[in-house]
Amino acid sequence: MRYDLVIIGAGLAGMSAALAAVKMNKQAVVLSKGLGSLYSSSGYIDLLGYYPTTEMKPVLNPARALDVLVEEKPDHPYSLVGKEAIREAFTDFLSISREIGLAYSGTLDENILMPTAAGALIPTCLYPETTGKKITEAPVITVVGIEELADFYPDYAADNLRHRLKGEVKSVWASLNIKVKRELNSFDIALALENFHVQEALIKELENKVPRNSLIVIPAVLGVQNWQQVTKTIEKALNCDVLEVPTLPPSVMGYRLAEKLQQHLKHKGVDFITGHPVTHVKCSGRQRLEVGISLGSGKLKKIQGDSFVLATGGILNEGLLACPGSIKESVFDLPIVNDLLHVDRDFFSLKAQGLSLAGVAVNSNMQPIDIKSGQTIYENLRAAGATLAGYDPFIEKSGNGVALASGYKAGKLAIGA
Amino acid sequence: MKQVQEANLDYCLKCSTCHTQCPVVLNFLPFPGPKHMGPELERLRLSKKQGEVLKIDENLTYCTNCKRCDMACPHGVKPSYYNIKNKAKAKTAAVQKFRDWILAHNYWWGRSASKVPRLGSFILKLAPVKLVLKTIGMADRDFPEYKGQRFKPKIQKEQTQKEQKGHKKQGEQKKVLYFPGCYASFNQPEIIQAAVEILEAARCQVEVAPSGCCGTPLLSNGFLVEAGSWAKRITAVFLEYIEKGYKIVVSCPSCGLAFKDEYRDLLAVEQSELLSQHIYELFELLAEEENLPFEIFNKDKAKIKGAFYHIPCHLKAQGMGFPGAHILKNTVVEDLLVEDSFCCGISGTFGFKREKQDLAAAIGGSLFNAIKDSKVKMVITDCGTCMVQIRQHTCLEVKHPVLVLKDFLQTQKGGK
Repeated sequence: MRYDLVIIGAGLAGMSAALAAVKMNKQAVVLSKGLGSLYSSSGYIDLLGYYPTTEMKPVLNPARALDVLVEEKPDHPYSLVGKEAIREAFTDFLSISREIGLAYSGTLDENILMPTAAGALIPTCLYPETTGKKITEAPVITVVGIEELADFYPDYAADNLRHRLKGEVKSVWASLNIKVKRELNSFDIALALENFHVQEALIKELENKVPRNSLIVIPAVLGVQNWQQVTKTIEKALNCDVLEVPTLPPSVMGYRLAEKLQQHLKHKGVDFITGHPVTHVKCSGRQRLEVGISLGSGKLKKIQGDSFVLATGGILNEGLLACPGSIKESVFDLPIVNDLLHVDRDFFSLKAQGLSLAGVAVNSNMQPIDIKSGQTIYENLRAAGATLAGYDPFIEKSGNGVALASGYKAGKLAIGA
Repeated sequence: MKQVQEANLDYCLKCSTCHTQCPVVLNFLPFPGPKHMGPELERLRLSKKQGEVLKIDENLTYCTNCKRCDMACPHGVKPSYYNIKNKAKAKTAAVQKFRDWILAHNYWWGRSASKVPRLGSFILKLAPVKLVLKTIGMADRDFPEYKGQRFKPKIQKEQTQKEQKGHKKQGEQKKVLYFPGCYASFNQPEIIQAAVEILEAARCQVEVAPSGCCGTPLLSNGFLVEAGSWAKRITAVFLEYIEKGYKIVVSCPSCGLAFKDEYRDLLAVEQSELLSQHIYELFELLAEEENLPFEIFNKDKAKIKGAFYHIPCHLKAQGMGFPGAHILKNTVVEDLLVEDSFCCGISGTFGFKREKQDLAAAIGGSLFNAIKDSKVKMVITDCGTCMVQIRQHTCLEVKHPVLVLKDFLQTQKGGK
């Protein structure tokens, strides 16, 4: 069968393109090697956290910072997507988030500061409604660690938060009394906390340790499906606000977003073929005609489409392959903007890293272009997300924002809307 | 075992995405999950002496081989490969081993019982027999009833040849060897009849392979050596047909996955790669070759209104998309709800084990709820044991897609 839109990559950029397609009732398929890194993400949608990046202060109004960025960096994916399209993508995402049962809050005009598992504060503009609590304004904060959970240390997080916040910060441990003879991660604890008795155990543990009206900062383990309910139950019982903090992978907050988006798209008729990389491409002139995925034993499954969106991610997700001395785009072997000379020896440098800036160059129609001539390479191929060149998501804190906005625009243009 | 698979644990970044997709982890917290049992512990195993088994590997009896971890991995690691390999080495209690051995050889019991189907089904319902089964660790549940083979391959072959002559003008026929698998052969022979009728309507020259087992039950119960020798025999027969220009067609997802992937990856059968190139799921053949002429459908017949298509794990794992669902959607079912997110829990023989039965039901819980919420009256799925499980837990009509499609074929004899 022939699809209106073939999307390669199942991360936020790919799913964002699919959202644009289903909005116009187009038939889309998402092909992916695996389930993408959205599952490991924080679940926050950052537009722009730091700009200029060398400044240590987080951006307070990302929309205003975006105005400056678009002026100063014409090759940045945001400049190519355009302010209007970015706003549209974010607005649509907010309304879809309600439809899929994972309501997000926030606006493009304000960053709020969220605590990390290590007790740092990071700026973000869209966040799950249940985490819409401003830690910077809380007078009393209690960081809760869970004894059964590896990888979250409340004393450490509290200590770091104390340096950054005006409020009083204390830390406590709570045991959930889960007797399982293995190391549990945040996903496991979240599964356990779906159970009423485990919720009760948590509440009982915290009753005498947490002062009334404090903000409870707890790793994101309050349920896989029913976290809204679980959060409310705890808040009501303890007369406190509860703020979940994204954890190390498996990140439950990333999982919730990834799963909800995927379910929504599937119900709208999008096919997901997961677990097999695209290994075959065929074109005629400047048109991509089909791609193929190689199945288990090397048999080729061909998939035809009218247009294609490439959203395979950056180096971490193998959309870009880092080879000695060069970087390659892994599916179509597209030309790469490669600034490897600018590799900063300081890993934590606040100047953009050449490796992060490398990627596929596109025009404002999100079509990959030849770097020298600026000519489009294939008329019906568009790229989005971390595959794109010209930005450093890690120091800008713009990763999910670029994925959402560029994916949406690529998807929309690809189906001719 | 394939070198490719052995080496791929190095790509594991421990992101644990596979862990979040494991139906067993979701319902049974003590199971350490695919990342830990697979690539993580494999590093430890490799550092040990050959033949030394980890105590923790006993947990592997909980791996259902659904392949959802393999599909989830963003970096191409296949945890199920390590799990199946090490499950075969892990120690199990003698009674459990005996019970697993019986379940793994369902083909033998099926073949004998389907010769005397009523007696076979009757015996399984006798109280003393049930007691014995219970003692050796079988689940207290109804086993699928045995049915005699009403289908006679030989006669069919003659018919096919006759029809072939009639069709010659309309272009060359594709030669197809249809492999029905255990469930269709012993429990629901109508599937064979329907599959052949559809293939013939799509102008294939069909031959039906004699009943046989692909080896999946052996494989998932840890009898790798035996599975390997079955696989070798089957591969040899299939290759003879392939040489003569046949395509091998299956209608059971687990048979398909075994022929396409497991023979190469887990059993390292020689020439399995060549074999896999010629294996087609029935609808995959119809869709890919675009040889399902729409005129074969009876357009006067009212379409089925509303059905739930449960995509079995092993169909999803084949990576061919959902050709059956698309064909049904475009031809005979209105408002078909296609759902590939859930495992039904039975996982072949897993749900027939006493200590796993409740877990199997719990795993299927999300699926059963989704079916109930959809308020459909019919469920469609390709896998025999999925059918058994869904039927038992939802009390709805559950049909193989070929049986759904068959009812809409134009009756050819009358030339209508």
